[in-house]
Amino acid sequence: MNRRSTTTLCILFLFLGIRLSFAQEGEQPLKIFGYFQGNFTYQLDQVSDVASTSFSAQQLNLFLQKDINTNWAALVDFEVLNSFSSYRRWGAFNLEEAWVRYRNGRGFNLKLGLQIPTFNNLNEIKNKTPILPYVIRPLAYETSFNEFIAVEEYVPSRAYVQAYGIVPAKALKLEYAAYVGNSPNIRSQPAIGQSGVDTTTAFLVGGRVGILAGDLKAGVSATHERVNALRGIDVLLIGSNEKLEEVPRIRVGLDASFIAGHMYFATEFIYVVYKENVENLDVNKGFFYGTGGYFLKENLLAYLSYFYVRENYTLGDEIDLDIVAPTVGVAYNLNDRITFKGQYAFGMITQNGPGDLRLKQELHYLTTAVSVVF
Amino acid sequence: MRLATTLFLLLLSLPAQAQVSVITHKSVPVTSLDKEDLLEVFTGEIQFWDNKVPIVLVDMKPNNETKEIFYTFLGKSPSRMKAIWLKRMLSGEGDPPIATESEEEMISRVSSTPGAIGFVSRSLVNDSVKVVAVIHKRTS
Repeated sequence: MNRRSTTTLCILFLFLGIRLSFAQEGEQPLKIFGYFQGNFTYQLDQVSDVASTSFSAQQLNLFLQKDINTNWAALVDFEVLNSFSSYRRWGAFNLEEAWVRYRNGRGFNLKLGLQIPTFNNLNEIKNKTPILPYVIRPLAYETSFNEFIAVEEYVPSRAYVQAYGIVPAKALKLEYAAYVGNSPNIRSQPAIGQSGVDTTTAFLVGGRVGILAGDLKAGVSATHERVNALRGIDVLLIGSNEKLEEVPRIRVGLDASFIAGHMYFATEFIYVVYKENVENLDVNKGFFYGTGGYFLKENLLAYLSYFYVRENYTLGDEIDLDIVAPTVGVAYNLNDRITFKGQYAFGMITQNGPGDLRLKQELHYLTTAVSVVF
Repeated sequence: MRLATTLFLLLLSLPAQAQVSVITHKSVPVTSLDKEDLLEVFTGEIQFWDNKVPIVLVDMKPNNETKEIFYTFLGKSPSRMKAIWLKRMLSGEGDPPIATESEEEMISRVSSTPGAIGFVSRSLVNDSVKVVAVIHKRTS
């Protein structure tokens, strides 16, 4: 056997050895799956009598999942929003999740990496369009209305370490989740430093405890973090030398949902308060939604939903923002992969305050969507 | 003779009793599962058997009487179960069941897949699988 043949054989055996060693760890094949939702929306501003219509590829999520062994699994979730086009500067492309999970039975799971934390019932699944009957989600979870309501103030968007599980307790089961992540003081200007990192030493800490009893689920959630979101308001305070840096922000949430026969019901409440401890300054926000649905057929759900947002800013004068949005919709599962949705929402936006800050808008939304799992 | 005929006709007039067997691979370390256990297994809340072998769920694609009896017993409709499995899959928490085209394929799949659990008509059960629960339903 000549030298070249010997070398080739050695390389081949080395390669096979590496492949065999991975095979012995019992790895599963890489799983690739995802979903997308396309929609059409008709919008009418009743006050200005201006209408618009639009199609969009509302959302696409692509998952890569690897079950490393019986205890460890990893997942990556890429998200593409609103007809994303880098050329046309439309929409967004995000790394939504990238985590590894250790599982030791249902009682203890530990996720490490970029993830969506547990808060109330909807936060973890707010972007999972095939699971939700809505096209327009409850407003604290609907990023399309960022011009009216900042979603990131109401719910935590990211965490990096989360422990969670289910603990049986006689006739009930207790759910728990506890997590840590960045406070939202994230640098977004690469010119002055590494973007996407928290510029403070503060942390987001939060969690949820809940109960499961058959198809009834209920829980309480809370988060604490320190934010620079109020920075800049200090210039509006007459006679104040306070600098609103790293102000504590506390969120409290309540959630409940159940399915009984053909009936479906879900509700949530979120309260956000800033502990700014400054005279003549007070900022707090509240959100509520309630949905009642009825399964007309096993694969056809009709629902009524009511969204309410209240934001209160006291800067010497008081400024209130109220958003009320009753909505009605249907969701039809054509099969395991395709869901058709239709929804009508009427939004009333009222802002009371001094002078030019007063605002009143009435908006009609009629939207249809198709959601596909692949 | 007349009495025998009468008894025979009486038996025919009684409601028939459909039965569904919950079956597992022979290596699964359980002898029986109750309704609560089956719910926890089929909703994915429990993912491993006691011997650390992953649970492999096997479902049937066609909607037939066997499937209806099984999910009625669990208290959840097939579409509700699909919603639960879809949520778990999209959250990276678990895989949806393997879907078989027939009860014969169900038996074949369960008997050849370590950790597998499924359900078939009791009349189709053979020695290749283990029975861990029997569900009765009276039909008329």
